[in-house]
Amino acid sequence: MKEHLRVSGELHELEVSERSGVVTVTVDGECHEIADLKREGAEIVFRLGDRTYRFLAHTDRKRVIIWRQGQVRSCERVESAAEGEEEEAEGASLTSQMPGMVLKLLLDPGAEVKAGTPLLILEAMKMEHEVCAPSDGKLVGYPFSEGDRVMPGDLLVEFEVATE
Amino acid sequence: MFKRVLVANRGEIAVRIIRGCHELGCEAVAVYSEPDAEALHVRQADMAVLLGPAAPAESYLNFERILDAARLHDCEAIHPGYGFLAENADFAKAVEDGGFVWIGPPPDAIRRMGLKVEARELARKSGAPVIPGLDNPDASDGEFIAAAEDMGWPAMVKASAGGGGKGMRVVHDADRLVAALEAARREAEKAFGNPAVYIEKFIERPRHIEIQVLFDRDGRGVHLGERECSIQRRHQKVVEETPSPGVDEKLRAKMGKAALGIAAEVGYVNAGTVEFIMAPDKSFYFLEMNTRLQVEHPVTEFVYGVDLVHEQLLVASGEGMTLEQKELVPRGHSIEVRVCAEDPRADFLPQIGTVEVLRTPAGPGVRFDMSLYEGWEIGPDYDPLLGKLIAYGPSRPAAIARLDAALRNTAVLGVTTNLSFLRRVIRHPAFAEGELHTGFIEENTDGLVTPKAELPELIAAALAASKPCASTATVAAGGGEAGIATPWEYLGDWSNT
Repeated sequence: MKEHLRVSGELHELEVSERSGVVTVTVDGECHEIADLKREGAEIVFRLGDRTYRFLAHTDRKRVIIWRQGQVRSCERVESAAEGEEEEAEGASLTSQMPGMVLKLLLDPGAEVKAGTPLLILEAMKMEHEVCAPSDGKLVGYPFSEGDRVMPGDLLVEFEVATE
Repeated sequence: MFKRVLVANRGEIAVRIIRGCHELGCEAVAVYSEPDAEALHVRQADMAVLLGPAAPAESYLNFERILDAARLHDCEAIHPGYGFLAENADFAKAVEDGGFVWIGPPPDAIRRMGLKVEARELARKSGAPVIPGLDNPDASDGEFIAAAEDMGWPAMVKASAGGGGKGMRVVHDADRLVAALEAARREAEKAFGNPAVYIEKFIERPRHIEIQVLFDRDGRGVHLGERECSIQRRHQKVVEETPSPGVDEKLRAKMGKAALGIAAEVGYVNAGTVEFIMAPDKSFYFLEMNTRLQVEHPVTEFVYGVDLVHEQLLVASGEGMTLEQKELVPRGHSIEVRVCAEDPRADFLPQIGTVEVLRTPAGPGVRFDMSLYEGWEIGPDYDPLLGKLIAYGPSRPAAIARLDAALRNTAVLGVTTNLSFLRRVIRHPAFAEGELHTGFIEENTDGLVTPKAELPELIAAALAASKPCASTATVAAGGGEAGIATPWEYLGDWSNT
């Protein structure tokens, strides 16, 4: 089964297959044969070429997190390549990533704004966070009022990207 | 020594204080909120008392509940840690009025140093240099603008009752000042219940240098050198070290003397920290005094061979401190990084999640003060600080190398942390050079971004992704995806946990 993961902002198509004991991982269309694959608890160990790599991994519905020698990669699961591109265009930063409270709505709906303009102040973990315009565009509206509680995934600002 | 102490805090600092109590043969009573019932500090304490729901006002800030807990278990003293009630003079007074020993300075010293305006006045009186500014809390916005024009932009807006960066703003022109004052007042009101703010001259490319002091109950004080905390993000400290690459023995003695003078002016007792801001020409100004144990106290402990929590307990119990100024000589170098549940790629937004995988570093000169274990859930109710990783070495390069190796061996998976970011900060060439200032992170952002994923990482991600995890399996059962064979099923011997 093909997996689509966004890693450090780039979309990758990955597939693991096994034939007569040989495991092959296809990364963006290129096949790589790995050897001595082992998995114990959170550890994934494999040999690629003449080197053995030892990773720690944790997966959930949304993410695949891998770690090796202090370097963490959080890879976002994407259902398909098409959806990944769509999300990229939308800019996913206007949803709340934390439970929090809408503190202040900064502009009136309909306002034309430049990328980076603060649109809303969210309070989470006792700190204020500004939610800014991801690109040039128009503020369509605010789904919440000041003082409303929000949960992770809630859309905080309806925003229309300027078409150029 | 006390027989039993109540620790009125949570997280890594509660764990650290409980350990300090046990080392001196003293029992420790923990307090906790509902979501903290299974927290590490609760597990390590001799006894634990539920305070109330998650909201700090109903738990860790609830005077009555905490004092009831101390009475219930016959505690003799209360240690507040840092944050929460540590710098609340009313609570310190309530503790003393309740017949308990407060492990900290006298309530009056907390109150006077807590009012930043009065603290500046105390510092001035003791002869220490103070930054120019307008500290009249009743000043109008117009007066603040006039004062800022007078001393020259940029100006810094601060909360009078502040700390921890809350309410702080740097403003570069009059147009932005009014909005900054408004935002700062709002944040200050929320965080401290007091909206008063003040402004002072913002010193460009400053170093943040603080002096650790310790006073016994007879007014005898010593200083334990400086800590440099210049690596900050939004006025929150990220990396701390001692000695400072910018402070020599002569300057240390001068700053130590100034710090002791300020603390003596307020009749200080127990451990405290006097913070200074240092301009590139090495002139320094009093910033504020933190009337409690600091988050970054372990670097001082390494370099001076002192246990500050022990000293706090010894002073408070009346046994007196064991330190003499002439014996306090720094040896080697120590650096600390603050490990937080936050996402450096999403503007350092605090993160929640369960610690699914935890690997901790070890070895000589390595210390990891934290409150994590596998299965511990980090919720949205409290500060995102998870712990501190501290390294010690005979020299600054040796300490950096040890910290780097320790970070290489530290893994916290399941909640996004700043660990990789911290490692990039301490590996940065500018950090090695020791040319530190509070704008370091902003200035060096380009060198701190995540490098692109390499092939072995993508292969590991593919291997991890193609194995169904517990939550996917649950969804799949209802979502009609069940029954798709994956390599994990036919490879057979791989566990599915």
